[in-house]
Amino acid sequence: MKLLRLSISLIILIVLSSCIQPLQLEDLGVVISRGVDKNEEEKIEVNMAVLQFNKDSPSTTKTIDGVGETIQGAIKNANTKANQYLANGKLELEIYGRQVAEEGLEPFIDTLRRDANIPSTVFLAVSDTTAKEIFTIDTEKIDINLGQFLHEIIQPGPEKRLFPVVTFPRFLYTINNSGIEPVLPIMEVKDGNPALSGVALFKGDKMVSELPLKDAILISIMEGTVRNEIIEITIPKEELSAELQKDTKRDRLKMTFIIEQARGNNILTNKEELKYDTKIDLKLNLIEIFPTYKLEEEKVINDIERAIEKHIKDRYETLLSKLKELNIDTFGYGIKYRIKNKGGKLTAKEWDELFPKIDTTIDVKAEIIRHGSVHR
Amino acid sequence: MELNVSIKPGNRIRAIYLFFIIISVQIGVGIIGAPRFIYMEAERSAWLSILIAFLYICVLVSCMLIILKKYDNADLLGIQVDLFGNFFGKLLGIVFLVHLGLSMMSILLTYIQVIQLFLYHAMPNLLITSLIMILVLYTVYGGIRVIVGVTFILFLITMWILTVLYDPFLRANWYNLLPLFDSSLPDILKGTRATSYTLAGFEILWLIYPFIQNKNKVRLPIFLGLAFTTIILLVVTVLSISYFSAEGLKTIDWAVLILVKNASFTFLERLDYIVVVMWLMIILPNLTLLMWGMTFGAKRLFKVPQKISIWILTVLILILVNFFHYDYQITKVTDLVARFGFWITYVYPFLLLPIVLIKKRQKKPKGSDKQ
Repeated sequence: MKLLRLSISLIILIVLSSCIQPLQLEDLGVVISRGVDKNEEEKIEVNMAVLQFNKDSPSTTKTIDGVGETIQGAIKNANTKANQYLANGKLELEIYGRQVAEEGLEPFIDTLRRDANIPSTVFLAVSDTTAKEIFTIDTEKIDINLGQFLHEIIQPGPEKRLFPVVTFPRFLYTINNSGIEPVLPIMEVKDGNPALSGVALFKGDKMVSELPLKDAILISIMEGTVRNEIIEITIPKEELSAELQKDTKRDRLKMTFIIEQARGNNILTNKEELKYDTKIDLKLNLIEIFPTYKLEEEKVINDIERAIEKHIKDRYETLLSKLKELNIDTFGYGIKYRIKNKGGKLTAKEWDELFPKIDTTIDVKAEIIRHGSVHR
Repeated sequence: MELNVSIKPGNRIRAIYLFFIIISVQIGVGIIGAPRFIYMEAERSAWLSILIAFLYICVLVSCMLIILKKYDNADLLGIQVDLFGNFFGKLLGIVFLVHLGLSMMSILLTYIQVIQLFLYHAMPNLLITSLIMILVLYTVYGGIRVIVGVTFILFLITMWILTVLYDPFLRANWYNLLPLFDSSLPDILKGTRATSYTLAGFEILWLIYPFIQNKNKVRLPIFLGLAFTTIILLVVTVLSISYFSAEGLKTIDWAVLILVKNASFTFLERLDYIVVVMWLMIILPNLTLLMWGMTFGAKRLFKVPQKISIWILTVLILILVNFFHYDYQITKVTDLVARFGFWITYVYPFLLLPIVLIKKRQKKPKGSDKQ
């Protein structure tokens, strides 16, 4: 009896193992990144950087492309050219061509939501020209897989949660929320190498405008608490205080800081008049300065801090006036308005009319809490 | 049929295990999709709905305990026969068992749907059910003590899943929860009603109560268990609301699995696959307790040996699962359980209480007459 039971359970074990399709690593083409474009016939063209497990292959990257009416259809089409089964369970980055982004990303994000296979950790980005251009570069200079390389351009080193890292759920959140508009990083090919080049501003699912890359830090400060980022600040001599001007013959003050902590906060002070206070706190650690000053003196530090405050404030004001002109609420002023609104609801249309009228007072507070291992 | 259940001393369980039983039977598949249903009704005040539901359930369980304590060692089936006579009492007993059966079906079907969505698209219903039923049969065969043991161990094994929620917690947009106290009271109560499917399951207390060894200590573990479940549901709901946009959450079917999908480690890329499989360990105590409830009930009502009824039920389930393929069919079953179960679980005890009290009061003078 005991033998019978044992043999039955053994048979079950053996039989059941065939219930699930086995997939060998060598037979898998693991898609790390993919680019989405539209071709001349208005069909979707997908370029994929696939991880190679084959020991004999000369390169770690293989790029495959496919054309179809839908993204998944294009992947199926690409599969006809590949000797491996394309698995998108480790998708890390999806890049959209500029044309596609300007026409609206709505058709392309459906499968990212619907297909349970696709991870939530996937990043989104926009290509300066077409996504195809990024995926067809000469990969010989890159010693790791291209897909992984592109992913690490956006997030080098440890995990980040702020811009330029925009995960798919974050993008979806900003698209669906009427009080805030999405942003994505722009990538371009520079001298044969892919690189970050700017910030794409979206209105709904459509890319409307762009900002230079140096403004990316302004966006991440408004998104959440920034830590361990590097910021370069150049201040013309005229903007410095009289005493600082006296000490130097150079025409501008050049500095680089590590941001120990930076955070921005919008407060709606008067709902009827749409008055906002935007508070930005910066805690900075000086790592490079030229020309140098007597940094052990409180007065000097304070004067530099004031100059930085004015500089950052100017940058925010220029950026904000541009956003108001374009009517894109990238910083999420609408979220604060919605909370005070009746019923806690705000329609996109309502906010479109109000946003250009908002009156924002920007208040920057900069503290240089360290100035390195020397004071001169 | 005897009113009181006679239980061998070796089959009794200690009251402390009720804590694990209550949590395990409450947390099933419902919680995966619950945030959406509660949010659709109560919007940002969903957390308030859950707290109201908790208070309601506390009152309800106290009421159940009052009824059960009026008898020496009876379960619901015995009490009903005592109150409504042999025919109606047994009829109500059947209704209760059918409720347990439907709950079990809805859990199985929903889990099969999740498996097919996340892991194996082409795996037939019959196969998944057979694999699960092997485990369920094996456990139920062991008797009540084994079932409670499994419940206890699987509780300890599965609770780490909660820690994975740290990632959505760090990415949450807390402003989504503001303004507070904004929804109207009817909406909040509708939200409370929407929790009924998720928080149901504690009605197993009706059957398991006679097995408790130290009945004077049942209150604390039960209420702690209820509080624990409520806290988990609260955390999950608040996180879902703050993580997804309002429009987004209304369209997401399996909010908790999407939340879990966020965490990723260098040594483990896709945690959601593991969580989906781990979820079997969460629903297994559910299924075994319900299966045991049905077979034990059948034995009480019709003296059918448990070894026979368990096989009949298994075959019945194995046949039935093959007819459900569409999402809307499964939603219908779940809706049926939610609606039908609402009256049995959440309203019926309050109707039963006055009848029991009146009946018991009538009996007392009779007893004193005899003296």
